[in-house]
Amino acid sequence: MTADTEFSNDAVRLMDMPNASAVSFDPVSRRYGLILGTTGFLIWLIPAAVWSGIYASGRIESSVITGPAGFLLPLVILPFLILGGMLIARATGFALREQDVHLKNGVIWQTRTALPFNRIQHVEMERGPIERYFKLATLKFYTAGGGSADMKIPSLPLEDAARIKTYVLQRAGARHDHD
Amino acid sequence: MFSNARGRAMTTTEEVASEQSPAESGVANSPFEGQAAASLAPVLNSKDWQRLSPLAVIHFIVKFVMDFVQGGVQNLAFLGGIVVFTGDSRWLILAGAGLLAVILLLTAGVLSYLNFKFRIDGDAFLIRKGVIQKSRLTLTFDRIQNVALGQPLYFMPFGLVTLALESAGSSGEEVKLAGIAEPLARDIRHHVLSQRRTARHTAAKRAGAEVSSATSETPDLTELTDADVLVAQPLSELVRYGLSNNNIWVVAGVATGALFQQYDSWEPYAIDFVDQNVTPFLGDAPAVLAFAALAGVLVVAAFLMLCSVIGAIVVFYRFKLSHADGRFFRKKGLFERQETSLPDTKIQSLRLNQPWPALLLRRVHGGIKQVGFSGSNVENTSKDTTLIIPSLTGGLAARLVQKVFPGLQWDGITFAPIDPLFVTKTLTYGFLPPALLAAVPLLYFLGAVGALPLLFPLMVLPLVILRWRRYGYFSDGQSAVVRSGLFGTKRTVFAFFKAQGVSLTQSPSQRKRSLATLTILLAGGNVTVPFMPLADAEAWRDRILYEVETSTQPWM
Repeated sequence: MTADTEFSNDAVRLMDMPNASAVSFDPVSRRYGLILGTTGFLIWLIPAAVWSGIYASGRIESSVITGPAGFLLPLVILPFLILGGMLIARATGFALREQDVHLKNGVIWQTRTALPFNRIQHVEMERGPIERYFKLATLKFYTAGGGSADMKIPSLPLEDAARIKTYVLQRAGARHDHD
Repeated sequence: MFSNARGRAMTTTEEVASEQSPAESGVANSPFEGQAAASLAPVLNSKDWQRLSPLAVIHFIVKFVMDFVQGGVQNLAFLGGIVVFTGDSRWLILAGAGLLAVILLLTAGVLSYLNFKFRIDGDAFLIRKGVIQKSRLTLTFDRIQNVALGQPLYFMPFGLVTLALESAGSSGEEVKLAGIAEPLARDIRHHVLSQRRTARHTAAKRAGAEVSSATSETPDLTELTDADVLVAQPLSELVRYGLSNNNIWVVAGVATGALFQQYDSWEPYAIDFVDQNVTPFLGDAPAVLAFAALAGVLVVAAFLMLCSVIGAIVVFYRFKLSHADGRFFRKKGLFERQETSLPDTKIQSLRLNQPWPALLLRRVHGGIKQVGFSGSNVENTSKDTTLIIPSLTGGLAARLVQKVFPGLQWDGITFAPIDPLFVTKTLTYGFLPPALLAAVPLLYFLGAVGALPLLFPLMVLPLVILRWRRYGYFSDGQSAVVRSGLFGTKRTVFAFFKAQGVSLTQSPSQRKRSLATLTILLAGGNVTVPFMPLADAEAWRDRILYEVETSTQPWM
């Protein structure tokens, strides 16, 4: 190919290509942390109940864990669940540009994903029971890349989710009318 | 449920006779191209559902058996267990199981055949299939990516073929008409592909655009000449492929895993076997026994190599890859001649694989990856989106790259290395925790000797360094090459505009050092570059987005 398509960092900057690192991410609903916390709490209930059952039956023999205080042991995990949910929610954000959609997520391993609209095969709106209670929705974007969703924007306010879905599908060109 | 299915079967057997006859007579009377279309007429004009040849029963039975074998290696291990370990009644049990299997297979095969119906309605293929789980499929021609013909051994004497309709969608939409007359299959293929072309033509005209890929849409109209042949592999190359591809070792690994899962059940018998057949001849000196065990392993390895070579010859016999009119054509197969064609636009990436045995033999194995599935291939049930090109010399590989990516200067590639932090992080996160997990209890019970597992990360250090050195990336702004591997190498070549998405991941240490792990989502499998300098990773991402978003070329 010709010299101007030679690939180097300088050439890229010269081309004045849109820099995706400059996008500002919008946060998802503030309730996302609450949802994660609630989900974590519901899952936590199971091992906590199992623990209490075993502890009550007196099968645990330990010099450290004794007396009624032993029942409180599972509570140690709860603050981490809630804190974790809050951190994850704060780290999550999305951005829409004219040509692509961006998502950032992850607290320790921070990931930024970009999907161009003209590669999106279809968009799915998903609402779990907790999300329904809070009038929120999760948007799932599928490309031809794999079986599972390539991008998931969690806990968007319902109207926003619907508007984003319509916008993306319009941009994607509605070539794929099969769901 | 069952009685319902039978009722259906009863009524439809009569239809078979009446429906099958026009198609068959068409075949018999039309050995020539011009008349061949006559075999299509009854299918095209009829509103009746068509059936496969009754011999399709064989196909269904073979398919069930293959599914069983592939799905349950461990089940087979149990069958083997019955043979070896049950007492006098073993043959009775086996015969009973065999008889039951035969009856079940026959019933299932006949029912599957009776419940499989197809017809062409305008610009769509309608298919009904399924015995218990009935499904109805509508495949419009414009969603059919390719039509592949294949001829399994058991269809050869009857002039029947399988016709696979490949669609871009999920694999649930794959359809295979197994057991239709060859002229009819060719006519259907011609009809589907040419109809699709006219549909695209008119659609494009309406949009006022040029149709550039028109010629490439009709593979049947392309006459291949010797000049179009890119790769034609003689037996010697197939032997090389058999010796140097890794598949057999993967199978061997799975088999070994399965064997050791059942370790408890065969261990006493193995000990008995050794006691009765080995020690009386060789004595029980540990050195001799170790030597015998080593020899045994070598014999098994040699046997596996032989299997691999035979498999390579069966699958790739008279392999021929041609390129004409913007399409790749591939023929191969000893028992089942398969012809597949693949338009350039559908290629998502090209993989050049060189496992270490291939490094010794100085060959590279190519694989063209595409979206969706390519039916009709027995060997391709699990990784059916890859068109494998075995045993290429460096020159042939370069020619192949040039064909697929004409703009890429293959010879001038210099790979950029990834950051050495990869080595430290792989050791500390990948190998240190398991070593610590093993060392802590061992230290507690054995004392200082228990610290030995801590040497493990040091022992794998050379391997990790090797792996780090294998990583490399290169791009000319339009296409890119990513290299990885351990002893051998794997190079993936792809065009930026074919990407489906990009993601950048940073761990805290990567953030501190301005590094990132870049993952490029491709329709034929993802490509990852770990510990890439952040500036490069962001430049790749921005360039990929730019290429995808400004591209007007068809990508699948």
